[in-house]
Amino acid sequence: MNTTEDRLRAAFAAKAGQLTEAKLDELAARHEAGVEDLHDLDRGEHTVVLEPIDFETHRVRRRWVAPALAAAAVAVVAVGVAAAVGTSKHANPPAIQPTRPSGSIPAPSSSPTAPPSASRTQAVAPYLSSGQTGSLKDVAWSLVGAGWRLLQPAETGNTGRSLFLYDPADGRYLISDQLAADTKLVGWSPDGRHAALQLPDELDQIDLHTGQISPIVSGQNFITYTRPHGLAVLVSSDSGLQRYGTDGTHQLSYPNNINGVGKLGGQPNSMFYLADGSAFVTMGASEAILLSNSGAPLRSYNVPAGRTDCHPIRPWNSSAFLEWCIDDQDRSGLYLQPYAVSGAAVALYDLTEQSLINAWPLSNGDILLANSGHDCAETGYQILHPDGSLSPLRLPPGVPALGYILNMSGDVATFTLAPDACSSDQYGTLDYNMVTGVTTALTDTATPIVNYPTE
Amino acid sequence: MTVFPMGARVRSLDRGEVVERGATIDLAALYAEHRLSLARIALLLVDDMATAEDVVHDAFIALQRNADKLRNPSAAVAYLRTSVVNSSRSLLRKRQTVRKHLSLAREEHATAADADLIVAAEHQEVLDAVRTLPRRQQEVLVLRYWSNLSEAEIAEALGISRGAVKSNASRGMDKLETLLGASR
Repeated sequence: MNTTEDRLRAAFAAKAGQLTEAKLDELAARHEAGVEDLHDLDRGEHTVVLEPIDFETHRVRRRWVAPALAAAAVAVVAVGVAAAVGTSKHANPPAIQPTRPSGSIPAPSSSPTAPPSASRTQAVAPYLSSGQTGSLKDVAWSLVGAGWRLLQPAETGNTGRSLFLYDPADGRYLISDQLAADTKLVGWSPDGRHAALQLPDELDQIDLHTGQISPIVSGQNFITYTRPHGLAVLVSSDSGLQRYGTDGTHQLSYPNNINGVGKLGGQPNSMFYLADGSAFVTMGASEAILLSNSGAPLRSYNVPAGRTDCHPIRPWNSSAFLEWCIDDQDRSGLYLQPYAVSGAAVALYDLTEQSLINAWPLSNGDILLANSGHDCAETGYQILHPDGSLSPLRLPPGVPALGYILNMSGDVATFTLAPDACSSDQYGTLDYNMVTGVTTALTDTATPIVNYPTE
Repeated sequence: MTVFPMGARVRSLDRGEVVERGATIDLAALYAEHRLSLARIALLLVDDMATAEDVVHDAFIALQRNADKLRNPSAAVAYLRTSVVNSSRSLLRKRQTVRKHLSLAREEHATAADADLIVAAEHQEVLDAVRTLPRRQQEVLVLRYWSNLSEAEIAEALGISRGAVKSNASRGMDKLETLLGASR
């Protein structure tokens, strides 16, 4: 038998051998062609036409942030401003006066179904106390809603992997300890009662009230539940995007070339439904698109000037969604912006020197921003305050510099805990309420988390 | 990332001869001699040919900009190697962070360019196992078992101590043995 060292050398040689001088020349030629294309690009096609925006309030001055967050500036601007400055990332910072518009911004969500943010720390009975574990019969199902979460700790018990329902006070209820070891929690149905479980070759659904597991379909990867009732799921495989009823009935094969997009599909959360279930947002050829339930293209969202490959992330509120785009000349640059579903006026969260990759609205009006880390450094988090100022997020006690936010539920950020700079290993999760400052140890292992489906 | 047309790349490198302390760095010659080996290191680290080519090109551009800071022109190759490793790590870190936050996997796009080139299954198994290792261990193993660098050279390339090279290599191989069920 070959030694591991021999096998390693052979594998490296096989992989490296794929890259030849000729292939390198071909790749360089592709880049050359790409640059010529850029020179010929009619920027007018990418101009975003906007409704008038009120610039009088919430004026933001770009600030350079702490070295730990890199020499970078995150600014909030309207699309019109961004389009005007074009490649503003290369501009001299003082020359730009980005402004946060007020009236037309898709404001952070305040869903009527969402509990007050402080409820997580002020929770009283009938919630369990943090650290307490109850059973299915202890769940007050009429209370289950925003602020509740499903968690699947990585450890395997005597009978199988466990699935817990967490209440807003971090009390937990065992839903099942019978899950197969390779099961992964991937979705929570809008009906509030069922959750999707992905296995390597099968998609299952669990009834949270009973713990009963039933198969939906084989050979397909879960993407999302349909809305408003979660009666079906969108799944993907090599054959493209499909819709199956939760009873396993095949309902629809989506066309494999809508507006030149090619096969639709992706990972969980890569597409999401409007709240009324009439249409869903997904990624098009290089821009976000809105498709009807039958796959008919309803709207294409313009790619702002200087950007490309815009991916929808998730709903921002009932009328807007969040997406990120890539700088069309710097593939490593990412930009984040809320985009109105209607296609109307939008506000653009413009990244100038640093990669802004996610944002979450907090109940106190702040917005938490995440920037990608550099090398093996930590992800940078900042708070954008209502007055437009930025401040770095101080990580709570117990969270190493390398912790990153795995999930946001209201004001509560769930941080993963990692041992060293370049490790993908995690040794637990911790909740941190961004508004109250309360921290709670959540699990000892990496944990898939799914929020109650409020939107 | 600055991307130049191929012709411009060569021309810019032709003009990039730098004389420092009586010695000359011939960037064009360096490019011709080392771009493939550097690109292969990058490929093993980022698993994408187009990105690997870009990483190497950027390393040469960085060298061109900073050649006057090199104390010894003979260190240019080491400089390039370090630049390639750092750029690859930075790029991977960024990819990883984005995935963590967005639950969006772009692997389909990242590997599409290589779809016509399939690595034999037994090699792919090893490469997949390597991908599960911490970043630093991957880098050490690539530089040691592909580039055949000494511990001292790896330490210099990665900016770590020789002891750290040794421990990362050992831990990486131990983990691979476990994953692959083989003996060293």
